[in-house]
Amino acid sequence: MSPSPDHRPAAPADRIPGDPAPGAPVAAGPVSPDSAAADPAPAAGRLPHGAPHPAPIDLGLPLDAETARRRLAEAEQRGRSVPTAVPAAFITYGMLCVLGTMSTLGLHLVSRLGPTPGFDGKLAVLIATLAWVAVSILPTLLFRDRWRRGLGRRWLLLMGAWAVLWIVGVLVAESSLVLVIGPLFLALFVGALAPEASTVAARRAPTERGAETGGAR
Amino acid sequence: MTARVGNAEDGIVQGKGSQGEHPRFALEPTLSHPVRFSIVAALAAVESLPFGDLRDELAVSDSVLSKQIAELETGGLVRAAKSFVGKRPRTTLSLTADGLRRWKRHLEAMRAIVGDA
Repeated sequence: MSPSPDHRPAAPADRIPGDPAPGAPVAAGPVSPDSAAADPAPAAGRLPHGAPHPAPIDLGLPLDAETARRRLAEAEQRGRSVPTAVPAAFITYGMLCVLGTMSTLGLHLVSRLGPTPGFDGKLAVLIATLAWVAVSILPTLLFRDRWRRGLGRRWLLLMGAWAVLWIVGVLVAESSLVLVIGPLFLALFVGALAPEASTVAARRAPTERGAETGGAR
Repeated sequence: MTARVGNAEDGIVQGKGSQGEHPRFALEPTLSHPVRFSIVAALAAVESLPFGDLRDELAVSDSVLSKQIAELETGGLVRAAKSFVGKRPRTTLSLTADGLRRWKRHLEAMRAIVGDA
């Protein structure tokens, strides 16, 4: 079933030159004279008795070295056309890491201040944190930019690392250990961003070099 | 696509490009079509692409892209996920794991062809 285009009216079917018409039979190539002599009219789909097993079919793809070279160049060019910018999802991740530090330190400060009648400090910190977590998702949803292949798996790992660190931070909020956990979010964000930035820089380099030389290589 | 029966004396077996075989036998037949090749080349570098973005990048019409995507889906190289953004339908395309593997093998075969020349 063909995927439907995104709410656009269907354009008249365009055929690529060389593209066989739908339903057109594939032209059969030359048949070995040996098999033809053995049985001039073999039944469809069955080998005549005693006939040698036919040689495997060569798809005969018309791909010479020059065509292969051009196709490889196209593949490389399309690979470089992936956006050369850090995805907006890292805005989300930055916000989450800030929230991680502030919420864990906030819970620690609340525990140090002691209980206040009529006010649950811990609950206030947690509610504020969750509200900003919800807001932090917005950049990823709003910008919807292309993610480089492999970023999906990295993203799951980064989110898992953040979740583990935050849960640990909430659990140890009353102890001094949180003074170690809190700043770890900073390290987590830098650790997440640095490889992404270097990947982007590496992808940008050939493009910018080409622009400087006027496209000549 | 024209099918040609090979000569038994060639000793060539349609295979996966194992040692001794011409690298063209490791080519992915589905990718012989230039638009399908371009589709997979574009999808190989990203996690996914919306249908409209891919159409604009390849500069083809909706119908051409739909048809070739359907071929690639049938061949197991591409996955099309349908969703809605509000009330607007959105089709997101991505390479399957098998598609990525076959794409890389196709590129290797082409590099071998270029290297043989």
